[in-house]
Amino acid sequence: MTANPLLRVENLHTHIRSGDVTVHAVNGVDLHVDRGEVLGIVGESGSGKTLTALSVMRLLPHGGRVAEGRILLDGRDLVPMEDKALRHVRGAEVGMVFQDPLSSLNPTMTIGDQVAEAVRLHRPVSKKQAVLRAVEVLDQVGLPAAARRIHDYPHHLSGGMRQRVMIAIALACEPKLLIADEPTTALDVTIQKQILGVIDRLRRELDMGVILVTHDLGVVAGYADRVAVMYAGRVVETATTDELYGRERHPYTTALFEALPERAVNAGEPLRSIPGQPPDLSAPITACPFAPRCAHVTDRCRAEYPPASVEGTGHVYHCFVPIEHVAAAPGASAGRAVAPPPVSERAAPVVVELVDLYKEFPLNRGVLQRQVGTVSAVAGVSLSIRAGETFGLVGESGCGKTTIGRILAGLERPTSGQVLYHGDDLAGLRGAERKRKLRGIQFMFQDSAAAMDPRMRAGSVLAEPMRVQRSADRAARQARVEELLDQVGMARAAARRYPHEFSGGQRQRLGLARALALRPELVVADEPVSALDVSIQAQILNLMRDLQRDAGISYVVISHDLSVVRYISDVIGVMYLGKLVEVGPAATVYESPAHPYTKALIDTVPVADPPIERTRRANVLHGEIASATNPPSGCRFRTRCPIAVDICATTEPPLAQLGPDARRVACHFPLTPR
Amino acid sequence: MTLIEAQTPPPPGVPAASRGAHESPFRSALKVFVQNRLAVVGLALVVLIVVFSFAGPLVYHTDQVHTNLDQVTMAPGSGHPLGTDSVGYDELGRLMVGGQTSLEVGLAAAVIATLFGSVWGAIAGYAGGLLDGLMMRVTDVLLSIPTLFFLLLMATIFRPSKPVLIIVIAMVSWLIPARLIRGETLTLKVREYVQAARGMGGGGLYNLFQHVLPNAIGTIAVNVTFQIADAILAIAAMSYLGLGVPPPEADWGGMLSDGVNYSYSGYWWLIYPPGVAIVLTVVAFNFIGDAVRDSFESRLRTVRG
Repeated sequence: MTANPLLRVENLHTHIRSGDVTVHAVNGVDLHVDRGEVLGIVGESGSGKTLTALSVMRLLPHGGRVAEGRILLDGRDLVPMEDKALRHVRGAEVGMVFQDPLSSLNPTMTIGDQVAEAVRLHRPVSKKQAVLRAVEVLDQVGLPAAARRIHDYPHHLSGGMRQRVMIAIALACEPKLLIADEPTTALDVTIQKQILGVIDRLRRELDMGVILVTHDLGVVAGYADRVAVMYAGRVVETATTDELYGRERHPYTTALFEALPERAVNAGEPLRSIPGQPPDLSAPITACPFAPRCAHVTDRCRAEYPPASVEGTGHVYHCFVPIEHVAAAPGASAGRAVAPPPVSERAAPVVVELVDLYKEFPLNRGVLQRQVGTVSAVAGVSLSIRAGETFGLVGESGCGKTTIGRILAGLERPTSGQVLYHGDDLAGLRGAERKRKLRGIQFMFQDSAAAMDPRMRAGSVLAEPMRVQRSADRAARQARVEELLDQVGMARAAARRYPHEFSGGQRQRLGLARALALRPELVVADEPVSALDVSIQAQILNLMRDLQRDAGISYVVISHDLSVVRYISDVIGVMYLGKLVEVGPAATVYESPAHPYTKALIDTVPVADPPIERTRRANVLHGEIASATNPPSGCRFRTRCPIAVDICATTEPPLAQLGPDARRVACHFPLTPR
Repeated sequence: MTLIEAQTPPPPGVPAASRGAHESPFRSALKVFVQNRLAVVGLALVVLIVVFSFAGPLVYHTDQVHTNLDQVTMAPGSGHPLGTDSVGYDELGRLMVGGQTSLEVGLAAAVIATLFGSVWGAIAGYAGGLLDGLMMRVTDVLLSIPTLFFLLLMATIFRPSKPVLIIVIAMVSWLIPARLIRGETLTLKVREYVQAARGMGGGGLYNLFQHVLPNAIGTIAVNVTFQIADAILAIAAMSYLGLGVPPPEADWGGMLSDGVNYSYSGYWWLIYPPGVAIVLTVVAFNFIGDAVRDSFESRLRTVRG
């Protein structure tokens, strides 16, 4: 808001050439960042948010260049600047944190040297002084025992610690501006909260400007002062965070909010998805890029791009038909009455039951591959999945949720324990019998692109389960493929295309269709939407719900995202380090968590509501998930638990019934009274 | 509101990118192949050499069975565009006949070696464990025997003829593809689509032939082209050592070896034509191999991109 902001980007156009196609990735972006301010840039993949950030640093991918516009840092234009001069800006005046902390660090250098390197590039100091400075910044970003850890290599550190090192490198020379590009996307929610806290604290201490690029509306809500929403290479709306969340004017922003699972849960409505796909940016778009997907579209929207409308305190949007917030109640909503999850069907028969399931992976080392230990991935999990019900399994990475899914689908065999499918133990079956039984349980992969043979057409991909199982003749398979395509809302002509010709959301539809091909009773969906944008995610989640209602199948939905699990599940199981710590009806578990870990997970998931999110800033779960090769004694969560006492280290709490609901919790001191 | 009901999503059957309507991976690979100039040159050369060797004798008639001791080592001139050799065969005609042997043996040996080696390596890689160790140690042992030594040994045991040459050369050349394809299989078998097929109940052999080998086709195709070049060189080497096909049949290596005996007599027309023919063929197949590799790699790029 000052006349002379730290960074001002004016009419930025960035083009990426590859072959004979020029992608207009950034199409006239205007934004500014003040000192000590956090600007959040949100948008879906392909919206140009990352390329805008990279344009400032001129770190564009091959074939990319800034075609037009000005980037003023403290009044100096960076666009015409020569590379040599720009090198003094990078690192010294503008620091950058990337998404993947493993590939951004050099695996052959100690972390101390890498931070010191950043210092020595810009400051005339001796090696010794640089190392001292490195210890100082590593201390600042919260690396425990920094003076000792500087001799560690990146692979010695966990993902969260690596990201702290990346931030230390970016801050080594005390830049005026920090650009963080999806800094926490690759991390677990509890770690994400820690990292965002670090960035926020340093922003205040150093009075830096911060650009926080993210796809997550929740992250922005808690930590940004102002937010710029990007779509198709343009900033379609900018406002202060409080203004945007609740008084947004652009239909796209509204659509993004409505596609959030937690909003749908709170409002008790089905998730609203944005129809269609983002536009192809290889041709310049002169009209409003959102027009084809917008419900308010007018002829004018299709003809020209709306100019900036300014309102109040710097609320800028580009729309001819902005959303009016006079009528608070969404009376216009054509939303039908929601069928609440079938609570009454508690007595539904059990389809699959896991009994005291263990899975250990051998840990081999050396030339002779001697076994030096075991990784305890799943340690004594018992649960049952009922007909027509969705069982949501949540937990951080490494908690064993995916292993359980793979064992259920027959992709792994348990070390011990039983997988009872209608009373038969799948773990003990072999050969043809097993093959026939496993027909009833199908797996849906996280990344359908990787899970489909690139040389097979979609029709063959969908028909493959039937071919393998010899369950139908050619004509019947053909008919079933068409039926499946109808069910998942795709054109029948899609059967002739190859997997790479579809978008991520369409491929995920195909993945679901393939899982349904054999008319299974249970579909195990491993992170079904985590690779998708919010708007597409909503389409897939709704599709899964509808198909469940029509076909009466059961789901096991495995996800790290609690809001997704909450939206789609009837029963939630929370896992920590191979153990089921809490299981019960979704609403009960979510509203009144009984296990401290469940509570921590719920508290750390960012919600897209600035006032709430700000009050929750202090709710940080400290520490990191313990090692699965040498799990803690007693309760496995005790190393991070805020209420742990001596008994937690000696006695493992059993999974015991709690309260009137069918909720069970493994804690000596459950948060809700027995 | 701004959004339509999620329950009625529009049929999103439209392709993500404005690419040509469902282009098969093979066709897009072909497109990249054709864009490579050297590959087109290589392909043209191969066609030229094949036409020369197999259709040439139908146009250019010469006696390649009876020796003619009246007309030995004649310099190129009228009647004999490339002169005659030490027993009076017309050199140009002989080049055509020799080309037939070299191409037939080279192609057959390369295809047999690659097919056998690919299946061997794929089975070893997919099975893993003890079987893998056993099968790969067999290839290691065989690889440790010097090729030339092995070829010589074989040639002294069997009377050289086209089929024998094919088998012998295939026996030494399947080892490299076996190792290559084993490595490829190791990476392919952990891909999610192979796991997905396992989850559907697909057996080992089904997965191997349905998902692993077809996706290794790029590596296999590249290997065939390089194997052809190598096999042609191997025949040349064996013939050079006097272990090639017996006269009156001929091959380029044997012709070259004959010619080298007369290198001090200045009979250049006995050395350059077979030498150039060998070099051109090998280079042409190498060009093709490079381009095949590029085109399959780029296909994978578009798939992942």
